[in-house]
Amino acid sequence: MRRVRLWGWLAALAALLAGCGTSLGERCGRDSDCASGFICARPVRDEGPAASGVCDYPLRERDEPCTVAAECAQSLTCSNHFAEGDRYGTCVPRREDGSTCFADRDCESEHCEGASGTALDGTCAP
Amino acid sequence: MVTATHTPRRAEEAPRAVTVVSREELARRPARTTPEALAEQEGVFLQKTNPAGGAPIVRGLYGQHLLLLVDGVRLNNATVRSGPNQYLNTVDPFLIEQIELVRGPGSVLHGSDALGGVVNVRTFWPRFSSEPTPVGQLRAQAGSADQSLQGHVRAGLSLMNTAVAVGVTLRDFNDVRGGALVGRQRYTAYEEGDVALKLRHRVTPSMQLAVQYQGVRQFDAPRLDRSVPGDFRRFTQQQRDFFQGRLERSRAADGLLRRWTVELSAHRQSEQVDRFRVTRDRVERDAANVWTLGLRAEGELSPIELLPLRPSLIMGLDLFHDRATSSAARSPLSEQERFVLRAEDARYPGAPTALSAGLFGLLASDERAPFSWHLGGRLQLHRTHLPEDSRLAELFASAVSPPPVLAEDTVSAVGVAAELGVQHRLAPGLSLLANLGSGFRAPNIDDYLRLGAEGPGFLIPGRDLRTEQSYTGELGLRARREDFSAELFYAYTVIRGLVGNVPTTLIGETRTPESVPYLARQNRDSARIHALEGAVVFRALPELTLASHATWTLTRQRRRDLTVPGEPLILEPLSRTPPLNGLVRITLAPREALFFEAVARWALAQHELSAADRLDVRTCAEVPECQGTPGFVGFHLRAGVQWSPHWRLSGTLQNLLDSTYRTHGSGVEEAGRSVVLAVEATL
Repeated sequence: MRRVRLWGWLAALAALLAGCGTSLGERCGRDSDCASGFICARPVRDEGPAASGVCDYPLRERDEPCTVAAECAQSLTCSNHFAEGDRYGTCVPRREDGSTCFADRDCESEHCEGASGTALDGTCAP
Repeated sequence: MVTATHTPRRAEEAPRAVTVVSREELARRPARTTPEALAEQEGVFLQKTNPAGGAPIVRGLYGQHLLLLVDGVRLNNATVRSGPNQYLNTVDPFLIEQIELVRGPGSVLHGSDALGGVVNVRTFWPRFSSEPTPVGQLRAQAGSADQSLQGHVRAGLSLMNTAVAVGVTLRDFNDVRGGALVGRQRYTAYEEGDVALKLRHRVTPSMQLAVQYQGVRQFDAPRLDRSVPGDFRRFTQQQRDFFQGRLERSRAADGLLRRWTVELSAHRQSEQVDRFRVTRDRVERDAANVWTLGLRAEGELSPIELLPLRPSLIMGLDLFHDRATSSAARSPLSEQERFVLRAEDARYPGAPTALSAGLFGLLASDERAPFSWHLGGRLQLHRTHLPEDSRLAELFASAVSPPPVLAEDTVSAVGVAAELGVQHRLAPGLSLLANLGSGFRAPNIDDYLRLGAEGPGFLIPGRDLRTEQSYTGELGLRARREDFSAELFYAYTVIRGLVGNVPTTLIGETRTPESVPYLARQNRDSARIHALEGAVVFRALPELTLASHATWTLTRQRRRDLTVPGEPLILEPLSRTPPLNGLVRITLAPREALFFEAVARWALAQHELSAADRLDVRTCAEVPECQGTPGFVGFHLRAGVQWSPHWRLSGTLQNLLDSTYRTHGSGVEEAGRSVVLAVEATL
């Protein structure tokens, strides 16, 4: 019990030192419950967003850096999908039907036909 | 340096390829973390999954195949997983007195896992003093790339026969800013608190008792490579408690035993990983806890007159017992936290245990003589108790032919290691070293029982595993003159039965419903590793020193492709084989207490990838025609001053060009252009 108390003090001191800088993963009801730069990510149910969620980073907006498409906002994908061998991209709009694509995520239709998953060899299709 | 032969020796006299990071070096080049203290050292390539990780790669091997020690006691326990791990970063960098790395097999003295090498982090011990002397130290370090702040305070008292000290460290890291192309990297912040208690007591003039406790609590270290908004993971807790007691009798004047040591240790390591999945409205918790109890007894006999060059014999035994427990649970994310246990998702079923018992002996003549030799061997027995395992049967109960329940079992494995080496002084300051050695790794609890997400796949347990055995031949040349020192080592290693994760099928599928590939632990046919390590230091002027080192590694493994009918043999590199890499450093020291330094750390591109590398988002993110990891050169400037015996200040301007790069296999980019400042005050 004494040890638990000691570590509790240390944790509190560490949090003090941190200046409560991050709130990633903390429970929240709205964005203002989270530290600057975070949003309150709430699960969406049939009746709408749940009353509470956890603090998380927001999705990246257009032209912000990314390495995987899931970092980008829903209407965007990561430009590294279109540049062979280049890890670093930015969030860009999804492509129209008939455009080349790497994954379903790259297409407005969410369907990249014929993509192998290892090359830029698919075509956005309806 | 004690790790190579268990006899204190200067590093340049060691009969093996060694790397040493001294306390003085760490004061001049303060490291952000303990793994990063090895980043500029010869023969070491540092992989970082996230800023709270850091796995040294030595001669192409890491994780389960590189033995980590803290004060001579194993950090590797029976649940060390395949792939890189974060355990070295559970050692407080402010406690380090010296890091010793023996490159190449070290199983004779240290047992299982020492195939690629042995990293021994030796922490400070308070010293005796002829009159009561208080001991105190205050250190602080700040970095702009991650807006980090670290502080360490140490206090103690030294007496004639007793010395005590206590140290406390607090460490706070925010998200790391990478180079210009990535900016601030989300999911990279974490916090840590450490405490250490040390006691030394001289029982008699030749007998000492040393007792210590080290505690580490890391909080909320995210897995950057597996985190995106709405679905992120972090090590909510990473904990280590380490108790060690050592009774040591040194240099008895007469008698058969020159010295002996008996050591007891207890090590608790635990981790808790939470995965936050917003769209599924749940938090998935995976926790594991391991207690390792250890006993080690070792003695050094007086030199044996009958044998050539009067070698000393070091012999001993060690016993380690591990007990692991794990749990998996889920809680709704949008409601009050309420975790419900899910036994079928647990990392291990029940409470598996592992017992290892080893006997070893090493004959070594005096390395300071013109010719010296050493010969050693170890025999080790392992018994692992595997509880009944119904997890797969429960997970796939609705399948047409569900996997069977695996019965409770106890499996045994034997490890054998030997080494033979000679060191010959060809001329004053020039020595030739030749070593033959073997290492082994017995399959551990994690190999037999791990179920669930592991690296880039979903791991399926398998019990048909055997001990991995390595054989290494090493040739080295070491030169040392007044203003010049250099060494060159070539090592060739063959590993039989190297265990690794390979793609496989489960109930007829190669991927989970979430499209994660199924992986199985498998003894591969064999692996071969060539390593060439060179280092040179040249003092061009009394105040100007040039230093450079480079390491080249080539690996090939033969394994069966379990996803193809007939399971054909395929040939590929080992995962995360480092590219050719090295460092160039120019140091100007106009005064003894002042220095300026320019450093270029570089690596060529790595295109040699295994199938697992290609599945790994750390190496091949969502990129068409993934070619591996690009090469890089990182330029850094450093300066330091010691303006009194009690005060020291150092600073680094790192990544001058703000380049965006990562070391091969890493999940995080190195820090962008930024400043690190460190100050140290000593009583």
